[in-house]
Amino acid sequence: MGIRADNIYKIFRDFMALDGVSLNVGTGELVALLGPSGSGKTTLLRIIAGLEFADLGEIYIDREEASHTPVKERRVGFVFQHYALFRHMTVFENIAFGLRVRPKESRPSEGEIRKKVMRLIDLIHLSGLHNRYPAQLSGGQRQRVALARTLAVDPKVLLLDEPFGALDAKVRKELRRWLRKIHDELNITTIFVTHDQEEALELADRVVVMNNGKIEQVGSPEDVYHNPANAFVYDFLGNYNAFDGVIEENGECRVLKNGERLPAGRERVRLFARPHDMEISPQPQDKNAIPARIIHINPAGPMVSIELENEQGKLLQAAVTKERFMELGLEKRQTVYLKARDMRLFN
Amino acid sequence: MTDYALNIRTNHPLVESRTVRLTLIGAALFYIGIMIFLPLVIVFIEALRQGAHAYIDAITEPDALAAIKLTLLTASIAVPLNLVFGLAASWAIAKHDFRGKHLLITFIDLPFSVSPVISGLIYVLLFGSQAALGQWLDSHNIQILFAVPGIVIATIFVTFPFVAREMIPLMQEQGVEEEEAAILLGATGWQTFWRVTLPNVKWGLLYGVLLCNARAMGEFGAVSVVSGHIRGMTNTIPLHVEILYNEYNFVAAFAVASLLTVLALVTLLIKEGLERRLEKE
Amino acid sequence: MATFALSLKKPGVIPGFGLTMGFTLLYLALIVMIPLAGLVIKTLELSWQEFVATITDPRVVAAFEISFGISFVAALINAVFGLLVAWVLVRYDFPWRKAVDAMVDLPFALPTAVAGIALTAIYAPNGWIGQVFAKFGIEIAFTPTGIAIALVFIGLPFVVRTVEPVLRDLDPEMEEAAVCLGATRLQIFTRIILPQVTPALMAGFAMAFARALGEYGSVIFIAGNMPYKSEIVPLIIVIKLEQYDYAGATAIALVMLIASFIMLLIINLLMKWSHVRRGGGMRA
Repeated sequence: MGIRADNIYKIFRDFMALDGVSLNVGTGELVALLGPSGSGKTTLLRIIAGLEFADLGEIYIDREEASHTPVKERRVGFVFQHYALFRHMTVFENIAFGLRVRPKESRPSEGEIRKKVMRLIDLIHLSGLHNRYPAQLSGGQRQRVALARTLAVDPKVLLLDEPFGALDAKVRKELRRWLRKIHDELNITTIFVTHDQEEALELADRVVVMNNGKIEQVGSPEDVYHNPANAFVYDFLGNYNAFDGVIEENGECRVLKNGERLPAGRERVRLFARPHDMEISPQPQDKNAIPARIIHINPAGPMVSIELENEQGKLLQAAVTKERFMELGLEKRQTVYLKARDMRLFN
Repeated sequence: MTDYALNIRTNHPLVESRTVRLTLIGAALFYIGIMIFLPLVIVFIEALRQGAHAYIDAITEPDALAAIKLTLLTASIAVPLNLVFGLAASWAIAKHDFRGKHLLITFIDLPFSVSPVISGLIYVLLFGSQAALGQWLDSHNIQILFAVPGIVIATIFVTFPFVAREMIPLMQEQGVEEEEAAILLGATGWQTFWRVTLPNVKWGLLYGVLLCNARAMGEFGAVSVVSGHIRGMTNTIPLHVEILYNEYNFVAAFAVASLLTVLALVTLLIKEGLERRLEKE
Repeated sequence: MATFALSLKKPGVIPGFGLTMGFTLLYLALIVMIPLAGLVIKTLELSWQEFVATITDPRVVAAFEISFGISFVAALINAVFGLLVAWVLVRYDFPWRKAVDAMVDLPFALPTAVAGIALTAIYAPNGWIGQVFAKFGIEIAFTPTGIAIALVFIGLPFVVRTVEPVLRDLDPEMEEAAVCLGATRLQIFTRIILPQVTPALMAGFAMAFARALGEYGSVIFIAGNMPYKSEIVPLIIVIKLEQYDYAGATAIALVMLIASFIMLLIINLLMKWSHVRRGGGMRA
């Protein structure tokens, strides 16, 4: 059941929430909408669900124009950021709700409801807790109940708004794996919204990076990480160092040296490099190496991250492996030379 | 003096000296005692001044019974109407977005800020025999002013905002996500309202109804203006109290007044219970 | 490719908006707006000269002075004591605290006529408190003092109930910080606590004042109702009505109504201010 959004515009008072967004999601795909807050990702999700209406543009669900389909008939499962569990109902009643409110003729029997709900409770590993109220559950448990509640009505597509936003780091990781597993088992078209790049890159088949109501890039996690379409995507997906640079006559890019004037007739450009692409050496690697002083070393984590200051006092970041760190014997306040292995230029 | 009186709330590590605290507590208790507790006590003392017999006589006398009946009738019409209105208004206002919401809420609050006398006056102007509508009603032998319908309408006006005002902030606080979730799961509007919205606000609703009822039964100014004070016909309990009092029949006046006082106390008691319940939830 | 379909702006997915909004507006119009509009229309029957003559009649002017003056004094008393009561209820624990807290709402629940006769019984020259003052030749009931007492009674809960939540939500860390910086308890109260409570206190004052302006039931028993001395505006309206002077009653009512609207506006602004003061941010 694919989803297609066609040139969607949405304006709230004087704020352009969506500025001509088009998106195609294939059947069974798991797609992340990634972006900072205010980028329009939640609005897009709510429009697909039918909770908001686009000012302009169309939504197709399963190749059918759905802009005017009432929410009830879209068969969209939506998991709210704060779950929106019915606080006066038990876990069982929450999950059974969608079945119980069906018109008499299509409502399953009490026995069928029970069977289905209990199966879902098993699926979310909450057996034995079906008589608890939402307030008596942990955040991760509530999240799973919310998902089970939407799955109970056999949705065609599953939409999740910041599904792990309100959980602590450890539970997040567990639930991420679990969601991936459920998605693979049920093979249901899924879109989730997140502002956490790590989450998007790890979980999704495809990542949609959004900013200011526009889509900046769509691609596989690998694609958006290694081939960011522009400075925004590059910036949003990780730390970086930015340098003033110049394009040489032979077409090569080079960082301007400290105090170096821009050669006449050349254009000043911004060059970007990730911390782990920075090479550190006690001696200048070549004539373009940048001298910098180490101001902080953080050895916790898989890489040793090092903060440095260049001659103008600008902060630079580098990351090296533990082995390389030991080998170099780096210390705070030491002056070293930096060189970028890989740099990017965005127009 | 027990130290209980000086227990400090644990979340306030900074506290005034013992003397200051005792003085402040003493002053506050004196103020509440003299302004609130004393009037409450005096009602019952005056009512029972001539013994239980006179008390019972006063409240079972035919005019008193007629007043009680009319008060109950009035409340039984005004309260349900304002209940339905309150639910409709809070659903429209709290669960939907539209322009002019604040203005609408202000309009709904209006009867609270209008003097009871003016609340009565506007209906005198509307239904009185000097007005076109009044003359038309007269010619069709429909009596509204100085009759039961007038009392009911004036009561509806003064109790108009109670339920709505209790429900709107409560429903706004609950947000719309649960309702959205219910609708995404296939529930109809009614199902969403009955199964999701109402259970979440039922205690607040009961509280609003209770306040509405207390005011409906106790309203004096507005009802006084539209009633015409016809004994046994258009007298509610508060009006009956006034008549007895003006006839210097103090024991009877306070006896009947004690009924309304008990109503007020019961209202406060249930309110306390509801608030504790709300806190728990 | 891109077909521009302009969708009609819908208010949201939650149904029932048309029905409930329609009913709300209809009921509001029938019960509140049309009758209130009738009052304004009725005033238009008066010429400007007649209107001015009605409201500048010495007896009416005296009543306005009494109503506004005593309401102001009563609200002031309630502001001071309301803050005290709220403070004591929030900050200290003492026996029967919960009961006292609940009792504060009594003036909301007790019918005004009952309050009126009870207060009269207490403050009349032969009443419990009245006779103590009578010994010194001071009369309370049937004088402006009596009116003030009734108005203090009916306005009592407003200040307590607006100030209480603000006091309760105050961040104790601010006081801790102040004491670490060397502030005395009194300085903390006047410089840290009072400024945060002020908007709510003023809102409570305004509510008590507005309520007192229109009050009728509790006052007429204790006031004595002597023209020029202890006659309040609502009573003048009633008297005019009893004399079938509908136009005169309406003119005075209109002035009161405008005063109420202004108070309502001020209260709304104060509540908003209080909300902002408490760090809630201005709501659209």
